[in-house]
Formats: sequence, C-alpha cells, structure tokens
Amino acid sequence: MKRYLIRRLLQALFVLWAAYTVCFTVLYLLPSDPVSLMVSGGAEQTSIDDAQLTALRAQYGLDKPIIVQYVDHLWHALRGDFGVSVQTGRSITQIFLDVLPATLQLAASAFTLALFLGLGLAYWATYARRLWVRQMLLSLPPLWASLPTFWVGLMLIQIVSFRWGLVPATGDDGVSSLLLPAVTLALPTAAGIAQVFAKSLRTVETEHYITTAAAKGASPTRVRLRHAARNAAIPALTLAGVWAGNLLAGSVVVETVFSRTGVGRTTATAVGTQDIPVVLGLVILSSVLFTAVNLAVDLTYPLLDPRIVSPAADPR
Amino acid sequence: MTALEDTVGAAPAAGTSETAGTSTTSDAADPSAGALLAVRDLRVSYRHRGTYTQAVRGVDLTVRPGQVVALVGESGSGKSTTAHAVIGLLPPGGRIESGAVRFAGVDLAALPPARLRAHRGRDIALIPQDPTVSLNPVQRIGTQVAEVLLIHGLATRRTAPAAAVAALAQAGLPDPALRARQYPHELSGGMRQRALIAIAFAATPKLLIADEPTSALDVTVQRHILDHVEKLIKDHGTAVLLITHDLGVAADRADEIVVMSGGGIVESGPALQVLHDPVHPYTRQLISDAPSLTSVRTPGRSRAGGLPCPHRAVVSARIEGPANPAAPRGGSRAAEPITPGQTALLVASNLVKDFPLPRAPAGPRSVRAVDDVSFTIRRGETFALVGESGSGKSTTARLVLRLMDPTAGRITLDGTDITSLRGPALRRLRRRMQIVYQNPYASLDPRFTVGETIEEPLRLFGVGTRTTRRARARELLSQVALSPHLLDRRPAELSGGQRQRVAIARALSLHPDLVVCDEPLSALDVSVQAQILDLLARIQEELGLSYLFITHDLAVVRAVADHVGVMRHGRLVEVGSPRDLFDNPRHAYTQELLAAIPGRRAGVAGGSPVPPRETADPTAGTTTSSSRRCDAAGPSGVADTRITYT
Repeated sequence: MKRYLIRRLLQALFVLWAAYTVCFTVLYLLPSDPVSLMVSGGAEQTSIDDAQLTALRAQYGLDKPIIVQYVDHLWHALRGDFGVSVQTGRSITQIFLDVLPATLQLAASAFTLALFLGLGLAYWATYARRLWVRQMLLSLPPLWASLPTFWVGLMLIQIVSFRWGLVPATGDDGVSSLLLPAVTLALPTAAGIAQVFAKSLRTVETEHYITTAAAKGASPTRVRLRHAARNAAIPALTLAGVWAGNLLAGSVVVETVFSRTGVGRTTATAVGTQDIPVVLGLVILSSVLFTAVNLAVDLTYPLLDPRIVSPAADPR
Repeated sequence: MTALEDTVGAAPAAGTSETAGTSTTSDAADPSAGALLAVRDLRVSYRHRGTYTQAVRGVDLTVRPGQVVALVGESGSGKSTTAHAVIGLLPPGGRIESGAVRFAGVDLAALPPARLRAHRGRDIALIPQDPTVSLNPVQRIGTQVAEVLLIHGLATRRTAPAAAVAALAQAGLPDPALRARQYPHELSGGMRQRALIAIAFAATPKLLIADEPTSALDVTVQRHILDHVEKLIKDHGTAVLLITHDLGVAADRADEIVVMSGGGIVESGPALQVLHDPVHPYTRQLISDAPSLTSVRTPGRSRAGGLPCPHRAVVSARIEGPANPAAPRGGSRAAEPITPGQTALLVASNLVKDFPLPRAPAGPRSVRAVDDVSFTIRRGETFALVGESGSGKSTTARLVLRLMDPTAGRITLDGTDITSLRGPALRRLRRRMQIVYQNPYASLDPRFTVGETIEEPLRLFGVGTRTTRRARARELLSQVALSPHLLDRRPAELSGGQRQRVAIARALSLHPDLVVCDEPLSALDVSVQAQILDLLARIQEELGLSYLFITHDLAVVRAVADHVGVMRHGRLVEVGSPRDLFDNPRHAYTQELLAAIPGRRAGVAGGSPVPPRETADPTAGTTTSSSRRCDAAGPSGVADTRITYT
C-alpha cells in the first residue's frame, strides 16, 4: 500500500511539472507583450517612453532569457508564489483562493448529482420490467451527452427561470442559484456514467458468480444489488473519477453562461485581457486541483476493488 | 434396482420420442415414488433471433436419495442445460417448454419463482463449473458462504460468520478462519472450488448438482476435491447429479451413467454396465475416445529403446524403404533417411530460468521456474513434458523455442549451440521450430482468413510468390484433413477442432523440424481430442517431425509419447519411456499423478474388458483390443495403477 501511494504521488508530481512546462512554453511563445498591453490597457492614455517600458520589463523579469524566466517561475511556483496580475497587481494565489470555493461548490454538487442520476438511470434502464421503458431510458444518455453545455444552460434559464420563475437565472447566492448550473454541468457526466454502468450491468449478468448467487436462493433484487451492481459499478466509478476533473474544466462555460464567479470565469476573463501571469497561475493551480482529485480517486479504488492492491494468489 | 433397469431398457430406444414416452408411463408410478428427483419428458429451448431451438428434447432422469448419477456428453449435448433447468437457472433466452421436474414430489418447473428460490441453495445446491470465475471477486469468502445461510434463515447475522468458517472447514479448506477473511483472488483454484463446495454444503442439501466441478483444475487437485465431495455426500446422504464430459470421472464416481447427445438421452444404466457393455454406438465412441479409459496401444514391432506408438510402424518402414512420397515438400531435410531413437535433434542441458519477484521486505528476490532441466528430443520422436500448472513445463518449452532466454544451461539443435543466437541467426532458427498453442479460440487472429493465417509465416519469411503460397496453404489444409474451401473462412466460422487443425497447418507451413504442442487438446471435446491426436501422429509419420508435447494429462501421454519427462516445481523428477513410467513409476509424484487419472476404478469389476477400438482410424494400424486390469486388491495406490497389456 505504501509503495502504491508513493508511486501515485510521484506520478502526480510529474503531471504537474509537465502541465507547468507546456503551459509556460505556449504562453510565453505567444507574440504579445504583456507590458505594452498593461500600459495601453490603462484608462488614462499616459504616454510612456521606451526607458520606462524597459524598466517595467525588468521589474517583471521579462528581460531575462526564457530559460531563466522558466526556472525562476518554477522556483517561485514551488513556494506557492505565482506572481501578480499585470492588470490589477493582485497576487494570483489570492485571486485563485477567492474564486475557488464557488467553483468547488459547483463541481461537487454537479458530481454528486451526476453520480446519482447516472447510476440510478442505468440501474432502472437495465432492470425495468417493460421493454419500451428500458429502451426509452437507454436512449437518454446518448442524447444528454450530445447536447452542448451552453445550450442546455440557456434553455434551462429560459424555461425554469424566465417562464416558470422558479429559481434565479444568474448570480451566486445560496442553493437556489446553484441548482441550474449544477444540473447543466452534471448532464454530460451523468450520461457517461449511465452508459458505462448500463453496459457493465448487462455484461455482469452473464458472469458465473451471478449464477452462484442465484443458486444460493438469493432473490433477484439481492443478486442485483449485492453481486451485479457492486461489480458493475467499478468501471463506471473509475470513469467518474476521471470526469471529476473535467467538471472543473467544464465550469468555464457554465460559470460564464450563469454569470457565476469562479475559477473558470476568472480564467476566461484573464485570457480575454491577455493577463498572461494570471492565466498561467490559474492553469497551474487548476492542475494541482485536478491532480489532487484524481489522486484521491485512485486511492479509493482499493475500497471498491480489493484486487487492486493485494497481489493475486500463486496460480496453482 | 428395478427402476434402474427400467431406464436401461428404455434407453437404447430413447432416440425416438414415442418409445421414450411409453417407458415414461411404464415406470412413472414406480421410480417417482422413491425418487428424490424425477425429470420427465423435459424439453428446453433457447431463443435466438426470435426463433426457439430445442436444446433438450424429452429427457427422462431419475435420481434416488443418496445416489450419484452422472450426466455425460460433449459440449452442446444438452447436459448442462438439463442440469440448469432442474434448478430453474437457465441462461437468458432459455425456457422450459414442457415436462416435469419433480423434486421430492413437487414439480419445480411449475412453482412460482419465490417458492422455487426457497429450494435453491437449501434443498438443491450447485457446484459450478469454473471456480476461478464463480465467486464474487469483491466480496470476502466468508460473506459469500454466510449468504446462503442468511437467505434461508439458517443463521443470524451474529452466528453466520462462525457458521461460514465451520462450513469452510468442512469443505476441507486449511485455515478456514483466515480464508473467510480473504477475497477470491487471494486463493488458488482448488481453494476456490473448496469455498464453492462449502457454499453448496452449508445448508446440507438433499441434492447436489455438480456441473463439471473439477474440469478447470489439475488432475491431482481434481482427485482430492472429488474424494472430499464423495466423503461429504456419504456423510450427509446427499444425492448427486454429476455433469461431466469426462467418462473417466463418471466411471469413478457414479452409480449410474446417463449419456446425452444432441439434446436427448442415448443410453443410461448402472455405471459398470454402461462402461463395459455399451449398447449405443455413440457411447462406444465416447469410451474409445476418452484417453483416460483407453488402454495403451499395444506394442508394435519392438525396437531398441522404442515404445509402442501408432505411427511407429510407418516410421520404421521409412527407414527401410524410400522416403514417404507424401512428404517431398519437406525438401532434402525431410527426405533424408531418419533414424529415430538414434539422432538427437534437440538437447537441453541443465536449463535454469529465474523470474524476478516484485521487491518485498521479506522473502526471496526471484523464483526459479525451471531448475536444472536436461532432456533430449530425438528426430521423429515425441518427447512429452507432464506436470501440473506452475510446474515449469510451459516455461521450459519457451526456453527451448528461444522465446525466452535461459538464466543458465545450454540448448543445441542438430549439434549446433543455439543458446545465445541473436538477430538474423535467431530469426532463421524460428523456421525450424514452431508451436501449436493450447487454445485455438485465442491463437488465431479473428480478422485473418484461414488462408492468410496459414500463409503468414511464409509471407514473413518471403517464401515463394503469392500463388505458390496459396498453393502451399491448400496443400497444408489437405494435410490436416480440412477442405480447401475453408481458405476464405474466418476463425469464427470454424469449430474448435477445425481451428486447431488450422493452427497445426500454420505450424507446418515452414517445414519445421520440431513442433512444440502446448496442451493442444485441453480446449477440445474428447472425440475431437482423439481426432487431433490421430492427426498429429499421422503428420509425424509423414514428415518425420519431432514433437515436444506439453500436457498435464498423463493419459494423453500414454497415447503419443516416446519419452516422457515428469516436471514438478521446475524440476524434472523422472524421465523414461511411457511404459517404464506407467508400469514402474519411481518418483512419488509420478505415482500420485498416475493415481489421479480418472477412470481408475472403472475396471474394478474386472472381467469385461473395455471394448476394442472398432472405430479407430485404419491408418493408425496398430490399435487394438487391449484391456487394463486394475488390481483391486492392491495394497497401495501404486498397485492399483498397474496396467496389463494384452
């Protein structure tokens, strides 16, 4: 178990380093100059001479060779210092921490919703008594998965908020404003979970241990819940773990559509204003989050499937 | 016994349904009265694309309390379907069309599901076929055993765990308390089968349905487990419906044998009667095909160091006369005079193979899979390596083929050291040694046609042109007795036996000197096994090939090998001719293996010999009537294994 943990941690560190390097390379090779942008972006069009620009570049370390900048940034990032925004001058770590809770809240509720919706739908779709009910339910996940998130969001606002007036359309105050974005964000993930779970429920049906259980005199419900579902859930939950990270990524669109504060929307804004240090910082911090979620998921596998950690018996 | 005789009397005619019907009426009143299980005119069908196909057509079956009835047949005969229909566990798409399944007077086929469930696990238990996949992988063993007790209210949540441990102990599992806390993947196949036996016996059922309970296990494990089950059924007076494809197992364990074919019963009766005096031709075929029941083929012309083998006569003929005209494409190599028993083709000396183990705080760093193994394979001869799974026989074969590098030791082919060949030289070596794998369902690429499969080695070595390669594939197909029409088929359209023939044709395409057969029969039905064995023997005669034959089945060895090596824990514990080994096994392990061959007890009654192989291929030439007599009074297991040649 300890070896497994260490290996996963090392892998996580490698992923972070790779994300940082790719991001840094892409962003700093872009043909734009953050200092001139910062200067021209100001409200009052003060004229600045070249000497002052050079001074500013030196202040942000932009005059050094690229490799030195890379190492410098990495060194600071390792100590939790991602620099400051060229637009507002605020600490990037602070910006991130300010908007993080809203995003986490959204992602967590969407994940929970997706899990219940996906597993529940698949279970129902597989064991419904009537054929047409099964077929109708099974056709839902592909439909959900193919609807674009922004369209679902806009339709929900249109119908649930404007026509029925049930919940506020936008903003971020309390549970009622969380509902629509969470549903919007959850649908594609729920669809994926449902498809995988339904498929593996059908596969598991023909497993020999299902016959063993039935031969004990177990009722169909007992066989399904204790033997079939438990085993069939393994691949579905594995994928759910991978998608948990995608929920963070998906928040860019959803937060924009619903005008919520959050990591996604802040990143989108920073990209718009070409605030490169902010983009870099947010991407890195998001990958830390993403990696942490995946690590947590990996570490819960042994709870789901005892075969993962303990070695197999001597094949004799 | 009258009931049994009735069934016997009805059996030969059971092929026609009306006679079966009359016999049902004649014995309906009688056997059903004392019978624990009485299956009457059972018909089961499966739905496939909207239409129903009958898999079981009017089966009558009677099991009396404490009796062991074996249902014997090949795959597709309907034996498993019959057994599953009894407890209402037909796979999806299957349904009972008509007939009755009376268990202790109640017709199970007519019971509502909930009432049928009350019998399942409590009165009628099942030991499933493959222990490796029949336990829930994410539940602890103890929980799975306890479940059956909880379902039927035989234990409470508090008493169940202890009861489960007791059931595991009863099933003969060592350390039952520890096993109860483990998951299935932490147990060996034999231990898992014992756990399944614990589940089956937990509620002390009246009837046990054992569906090929040990076919996935090694022979010695199989024997221990069957012995243990036999003890349990004696102790509890449990009746058994034993489903098996192995007549040897049926012969050893059953009071009565029912032979099924094509969904119907072709013959039934007391075990000894069915084995010694089979009425139906199908039963005779089954008996003659079962390697464990057939005796050793009689000695042919005896030659120095040689042992009787069906192809021997032809091989020696070739020494005297010109090369077999059927094998000219073997090139000069195959046409050369061959002196089997003289020229060593392949010599393995002191082979050792270590595999590294994952680093652990305690314990060894590596495991020795092959330990100081030496043997010689002579030209035109078959050397068999026998042993159980994990004994190192397959690893030895891979070392010989140079698919794996030995840790130490030397391999020579035709006097040339091939132990450290690399690059192009190693590639050229591949042409001389080929392999036929165990599972023809997995060893053929499903997207290749038969023609492409057979031509692939030729293509890879750039032999011939497209047309000559196609011609060669045709020729190889006829060599393995397949129609050339199959060239454009894909493996999915072929039967298991046909696939194995294709695999053999592929192995032969480059004119190898040595073919390694890695358990080439174990995935096939017995009658198909016999055909493939005949084919391998015939090809050997024609081409003067040498075989390295890997198997866990000593009975098969008896039919094919010139020399045998018995492996255990990576060591070659005994080498000799099959006759030496079977008559006079020196190593205790060889003795144990011999004793484990099913079908040993069949001859206990003595007297009536196993019928001669009338159906044998005439080209095989030397087969015969021979009988094996077991010394029933033998003081030890060893004596029981004595074989008499006639």
